[in-house]
Amino acid sequence: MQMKNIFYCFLISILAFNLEAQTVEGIITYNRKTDYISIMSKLPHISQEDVDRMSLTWGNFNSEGSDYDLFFKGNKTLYQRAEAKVASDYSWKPNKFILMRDYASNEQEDLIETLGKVYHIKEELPKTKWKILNEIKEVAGFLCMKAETRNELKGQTIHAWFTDAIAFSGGPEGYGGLPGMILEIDINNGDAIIFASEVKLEEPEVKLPYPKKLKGKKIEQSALDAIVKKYIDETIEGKKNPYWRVRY
Amino acid sequence: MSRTTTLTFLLCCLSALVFSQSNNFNIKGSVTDTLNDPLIYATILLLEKQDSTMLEFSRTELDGSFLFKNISPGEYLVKTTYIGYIPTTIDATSLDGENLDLGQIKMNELAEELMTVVIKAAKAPIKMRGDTIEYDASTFQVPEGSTVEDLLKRLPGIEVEADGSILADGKNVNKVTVDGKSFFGSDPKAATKNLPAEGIGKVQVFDTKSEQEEITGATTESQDKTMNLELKEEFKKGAFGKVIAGIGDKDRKELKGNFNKFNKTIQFSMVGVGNNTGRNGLSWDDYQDFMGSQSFNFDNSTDYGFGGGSFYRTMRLGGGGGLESDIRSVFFNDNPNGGFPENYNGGLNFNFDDTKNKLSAVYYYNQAGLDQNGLSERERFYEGFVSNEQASNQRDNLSKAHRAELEFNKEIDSLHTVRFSFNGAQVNENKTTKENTRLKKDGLLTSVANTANDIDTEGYLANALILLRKKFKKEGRKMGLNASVLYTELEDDWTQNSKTTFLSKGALVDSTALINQLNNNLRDKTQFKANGLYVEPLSKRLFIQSFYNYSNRKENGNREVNDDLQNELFLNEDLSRVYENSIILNRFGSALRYSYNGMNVSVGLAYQHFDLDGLYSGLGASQINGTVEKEFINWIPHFSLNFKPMSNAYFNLNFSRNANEPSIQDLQPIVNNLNPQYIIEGNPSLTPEISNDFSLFFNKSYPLSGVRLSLGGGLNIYDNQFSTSEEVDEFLVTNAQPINVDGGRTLRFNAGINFPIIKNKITTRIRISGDQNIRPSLVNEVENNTTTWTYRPYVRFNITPSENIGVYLTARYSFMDTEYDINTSQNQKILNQTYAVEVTAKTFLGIFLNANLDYKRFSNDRFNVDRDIPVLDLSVYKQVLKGKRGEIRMSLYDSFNENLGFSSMDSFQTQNEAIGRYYMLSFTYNIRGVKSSAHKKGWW
Repeated sequence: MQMKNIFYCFLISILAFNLEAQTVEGIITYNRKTDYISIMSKLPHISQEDVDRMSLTWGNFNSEGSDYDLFFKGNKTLYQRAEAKVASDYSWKPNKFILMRDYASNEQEDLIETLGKVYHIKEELPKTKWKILNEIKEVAGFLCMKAETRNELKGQTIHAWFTDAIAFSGGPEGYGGLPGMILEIDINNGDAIIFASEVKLEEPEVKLPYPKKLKGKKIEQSALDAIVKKYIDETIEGKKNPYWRVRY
Repeated sequence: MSRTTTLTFLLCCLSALVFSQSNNFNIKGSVTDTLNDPLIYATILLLEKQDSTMLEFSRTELDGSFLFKNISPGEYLVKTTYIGYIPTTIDATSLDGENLDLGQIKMNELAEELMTVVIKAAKAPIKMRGDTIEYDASTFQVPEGSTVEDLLKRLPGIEVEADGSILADGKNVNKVTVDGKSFFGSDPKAATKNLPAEGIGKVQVFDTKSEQEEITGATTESQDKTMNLELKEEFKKGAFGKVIAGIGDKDRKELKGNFNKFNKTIQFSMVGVGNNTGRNGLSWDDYQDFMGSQSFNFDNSTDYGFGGGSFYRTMRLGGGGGLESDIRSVFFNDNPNGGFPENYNGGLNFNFDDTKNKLSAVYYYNQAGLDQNGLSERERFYEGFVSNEQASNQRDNLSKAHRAELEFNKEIDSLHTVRFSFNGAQVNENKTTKENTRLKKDGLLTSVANTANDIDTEGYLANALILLRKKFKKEGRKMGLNASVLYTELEDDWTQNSKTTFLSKGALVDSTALINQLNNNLRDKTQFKANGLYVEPLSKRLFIQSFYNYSNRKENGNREVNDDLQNELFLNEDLSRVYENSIILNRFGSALRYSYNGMNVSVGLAYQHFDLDGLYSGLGASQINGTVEKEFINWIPHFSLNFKPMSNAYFNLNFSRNANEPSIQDLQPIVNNLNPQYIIEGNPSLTPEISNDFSLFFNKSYPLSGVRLSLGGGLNIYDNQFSTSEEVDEFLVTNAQPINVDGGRTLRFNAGINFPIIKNKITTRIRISGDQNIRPSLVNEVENNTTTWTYRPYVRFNITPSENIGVYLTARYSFMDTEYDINTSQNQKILNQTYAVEVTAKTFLGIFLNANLDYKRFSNDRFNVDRDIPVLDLSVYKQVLKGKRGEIRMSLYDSFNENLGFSSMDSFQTQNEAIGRYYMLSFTYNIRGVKSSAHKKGWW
């Protein structure tokens, strides 16, 4: 077992080393689950009694979450909602959410539908400040290390679990810049968890499914952040949960 | 592009310049395993020592070496990671900028046990803290009631000897601490043998340091280990509850309380209410606190059909208290204004849920008493004359009901779920009515009736259901099967005494009808239902949903009517009846459904077959007997479409057809003259009523501006609508018969907008709804189409300028315009208006004031109705006790003493005596503290 593991690790490492980091390609499917009770319990107008009531009523309600695909090839990634495998009883139209990254030219291009509009962002990728923590665990069969950063806009602590076995500095939800692929993102200790459910590395000829049209209001990330920030502040002031509409 | 490059280049030059000035340095080293073999392509991270912020990363070369160049002087860490090895961190500080050679960094393999047991099997993260390896022990399953010792036996690298002593990595554990503190002296066995495993979150093992080592920081190879047990965060559990007691003048009292206790898998709750004010005061919050995870039934519909969204949770709420009502629908059983109520409700609920097994048991008792003294008046228009009915009545109702519901859901495996449920109810009701009714025809008195009725009803219900849901290996294919049996039994004991005097020319006694009857009516019903649903996916976007419904309803009745003539009972053979009915429904249908990317379309057709069989006969020597045999076949088409036409918008269009079978009672050709002023005869030629329903709905919201719009409309067109043919004779005695009519329809629409005038300070909701109702009926053989238009505009303002004040204004109108086909001169217009003002303010010393005005205006020109009813409730309250656990409240209800229980509907007005003005002093105690806010909670 041990020998087999080591051999496998060697194989991946050597393979990766020989082919250079840029040639790693594949598709990773992530599942995103959001814990609205935990999110709402942090809102200032919610009392302990409200939290108990929510937990009692909805705490045992298991959400299946939603699936996302991360396509990566060369230095580019594309992250979007995964297509349903089979027709379901009812189909909800998800908000447009396509994140494209080019780590060679250090560029991001996003189509994000939020608060009633589709926005188109194309600009230089901001540098994420990561702290590397002393914790390891397995995600989707890969041994991962823990890293931490902050999302100041939404006041969130982000924990990322990345693996150097996939030598690609990308990840889901637009996160990246670590010495390996991010296989799990944990926002604010479980408020939302995005974890890899399937990793396909030997996918022949991965093609990034770029949208044909990039229709949306052109905006800078900082300007969109300001709109979202204003909405979050106003909604919390109005004693409501902003994260029903804004992605947590 | 070129500009950016240039800029970048310049910046690089600049930074290089800056860095070179401050004497930058390089870090080099190499990574090997414990056997000195180089680890190739290991990841090397350069971190800031202060907070582990990553600055750079690289990979080792073929010889295991690495190099970081041009680093400004400072404190750093170099971290190396390699698959299957424990990440290693080494200090790489160079304050003077001198190059660093970290030499050979040896990495230790992750112990196989840690790898296979902790990481792979338990999926637990491993945390490294210097020499400590720590992992979450709560992911290791141990049976309930296990001690820490039992848990340790399962952990990798730890051995527990027969005498209870512990070895970690082969070394003796000489010290056990809990959350870093020593536990029961130094004997480690005491801790591990006594502590329950349930409370343990993490287990940490590290080298024991002697006191001297702790002081000097020097380390030597230790022979002993220390184990630290970290306790779990407070296990998710709690309890809350409150009691409210109030006492007022006019002998008014209120008592209400609830209590909840819960942990992760078990919820237990109680609720109890008693009052003679009619305000049960049970809110949504109380409902959720009581029902817990059973508040909303997920996909509870068992009569499968075209719909099939398992995405929504259904709830059945509001009114009802009949035998077949469930607990959810009797929970909010507030008594309306008017009369003197006395209510007692209470229940217990227990939910168990470990995600695979769900059990819920709920019991609810519901007692409602209401004494009413009232007056009513009704006017009706006929071809050639007008009738007027004035009645005064005295009603005394008391109902008691016990209900229990038990439901068990089990997830057998990922493909199969079963549900078993059982409901039982017992309802007891007593109604006593004394009534004086005067009927006038064109202003001349035609009859006076004095009636005294006393009805005792006792009913029982038992309902059992079993349901199986199956998913198949093929994704999207699924099946549902269920079967249920419902049994109900109702017995009425009815004493009816009435004297009706018929008058001619308004004064001369024509005749008198005396009725003194004892009526015993025993009915039972057994209904067996079986339903099936099968869903077959055709592609990523298409699937077929097929369903089958079977229902077999058997009703037996035995009504024995005895005439009481001078205390001697004689069987009334004409009114006494025995019957046996059976109604069998077979329905099957299929729908082709498309669902993709927010677009949902469904087209379907069902075949429906009703088989009605009835057998009836009189009692005693009566010659009455006969059978009813009917069969009805209907085809039921279905169409629905909904999609998201734009951001935050929803559109829905629906067509459905419903066929309702006539009741067997209505089909039996027998005369029922239980009420001598209203005699009913069955109609054997009745056919099912078909209703064709079209509806559409659209809404759109603009989250940034807070504007929300909605539009809706619907049209119901009836074929063979059930209606009544009435023949009214000169004494206004009505002979009625159920008939089918054509031409009936209902049109409805609604439109609304919500928007803020000042965000979070003033918001508005404007809404209008309306409908047109055309209902044909036959009166004295003349077809009469009554067309009623109703409009209901509505405006609300929520004004919340600060945390300490909330003002809520509402205006509601109901404008009704009724037109008659015949006798158009009797057309009428009714306007009812309601204005509501609610003000809550937090004032000095934490004292809250609340004023609630409900001002109603009734006007109807045709009947000269013009009434104003202002009802003002006032209260003053303050939180008291430590942690604001108490609240004292002084209230004055109906300050103007104007609440007279008046209501006006169409051609019918009623007025009931009501409690009127009263004071109440109440006290609340809440374990969690009383939350008072000047703002309404959850107000959109």
